Amino acid sequence: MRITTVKPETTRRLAGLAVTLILGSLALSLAAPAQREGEPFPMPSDGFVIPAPDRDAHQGGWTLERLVEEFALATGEHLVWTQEAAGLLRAQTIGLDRELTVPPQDVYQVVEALLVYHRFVLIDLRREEPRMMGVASLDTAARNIARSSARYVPREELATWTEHPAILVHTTVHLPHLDVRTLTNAMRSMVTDPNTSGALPILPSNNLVLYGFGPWVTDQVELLERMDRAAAEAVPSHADEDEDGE
Amino acid sequence: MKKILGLALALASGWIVLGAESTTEPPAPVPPAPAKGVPPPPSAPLEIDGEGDETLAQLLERLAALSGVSVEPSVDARRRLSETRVPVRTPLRLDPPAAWPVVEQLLVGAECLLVEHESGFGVESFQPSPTPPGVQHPRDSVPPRPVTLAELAELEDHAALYVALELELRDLLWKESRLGPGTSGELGADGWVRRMIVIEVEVGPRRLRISGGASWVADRAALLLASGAAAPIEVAETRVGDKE
Repeated sequence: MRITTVKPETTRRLAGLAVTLILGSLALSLAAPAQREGEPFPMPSDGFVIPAPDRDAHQGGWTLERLVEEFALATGEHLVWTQEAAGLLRAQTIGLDRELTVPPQDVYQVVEALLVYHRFVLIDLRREEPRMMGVASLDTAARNIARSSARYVPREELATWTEHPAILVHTTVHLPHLDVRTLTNAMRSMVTDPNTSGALPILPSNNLVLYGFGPWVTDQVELLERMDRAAAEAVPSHADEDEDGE
Repeated sequence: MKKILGLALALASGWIVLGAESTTEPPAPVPPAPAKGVPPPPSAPLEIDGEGDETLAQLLERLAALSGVSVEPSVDARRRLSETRVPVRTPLRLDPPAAWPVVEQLLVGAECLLVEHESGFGVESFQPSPTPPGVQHPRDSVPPRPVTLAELAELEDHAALYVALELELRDLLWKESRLGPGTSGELGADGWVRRMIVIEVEVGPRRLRISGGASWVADRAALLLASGAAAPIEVAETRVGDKE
């Protein structure tokens, strides 16, 4: 066995280096919001409690405007919305039946779920500081441009968007053993609002482009890939057929 | 986003060089100079009070003055910007490098894009007031700035810069597809959204032109490249030659 001796001077240098690294990491963590592993957004600094509506006083509880204000405070996101959306946010109460405690790690998911339930979407405008998000209502003309706000997420990063039900994404999935054009037609019955979800075939590469809210797109991709694997066991791929044909 | 577009481009062109990023990027001691055709950063931070009293026209004037650049909105855009309050709900202090990207997001929200003029910049509204038949639409009179993929990667933080990118169309049925407002077949159907962001396929049978705000064009280019619906033109031409 080889034993290495370390001089006291070296030990002091290493210790000094370690202290510097720790202090440096601490300074960095204080300067910027903590980025969570595999999450597109930093961890919110705080959670909050949405109070129960006071039925005796005929108070409907928080409005959506109050909800997004709390969301902005907790997450550090700078929110942007139009006058038209402001009116709707102010007029609409959340509609919870009891008090809801939202811990920091669930702020994005809970608020997004409540927003999308009331037909609002979040538009991810800017990820560098200052971070910005738009709030748009699908009950205004903004529904026509909702698809346009969908951001491209590579297939391998899709899992990180399952907890963002109010943000539109699009991705591309490779399905070598399925006829993507037929598949797209078949999927039309699954799309209730083409402004917020849909599929497009890319024929030369036998890919499918999917757009929609994060959880929907993730579910569809998983389903389609499972179908593709099943088809692979049953029939040769379209690519194989082409090669055979040539 | 820059990384996504870069990766998509590299995949499409076969340029992937593992580890290249870590070895070729030198440390940047000074902020990089703004890319060509981008408004220079302001000389001081830009502050937005979050009260919602200021109009976008006033904010743009302040930013232009701080940046020492001329920004001249068209009549329609001026009206639009004067009618729109700054929609930021919390106070913001924007450091110089962030000022234009943030304000550009607000311009896009107000349905306006920045266009490059000989002596500065202009702003065009893509929701113009109703015009009599025969009157030219701003989209037709103000051409977008043509960019390459490499240039686009430098501009993608600029949501309102009006640019156009051409790609080789691999999926000739793409024109039947509809990816966001603005495929050519939808033009004119219902106004501004379809005009602000445009995918045109009539450039040529195998050419696709995407025009709109640089951030949006970059995102759609990344998707088109990753899906195999389109390819970079230079690389495509090389591949055609190789086959022959």
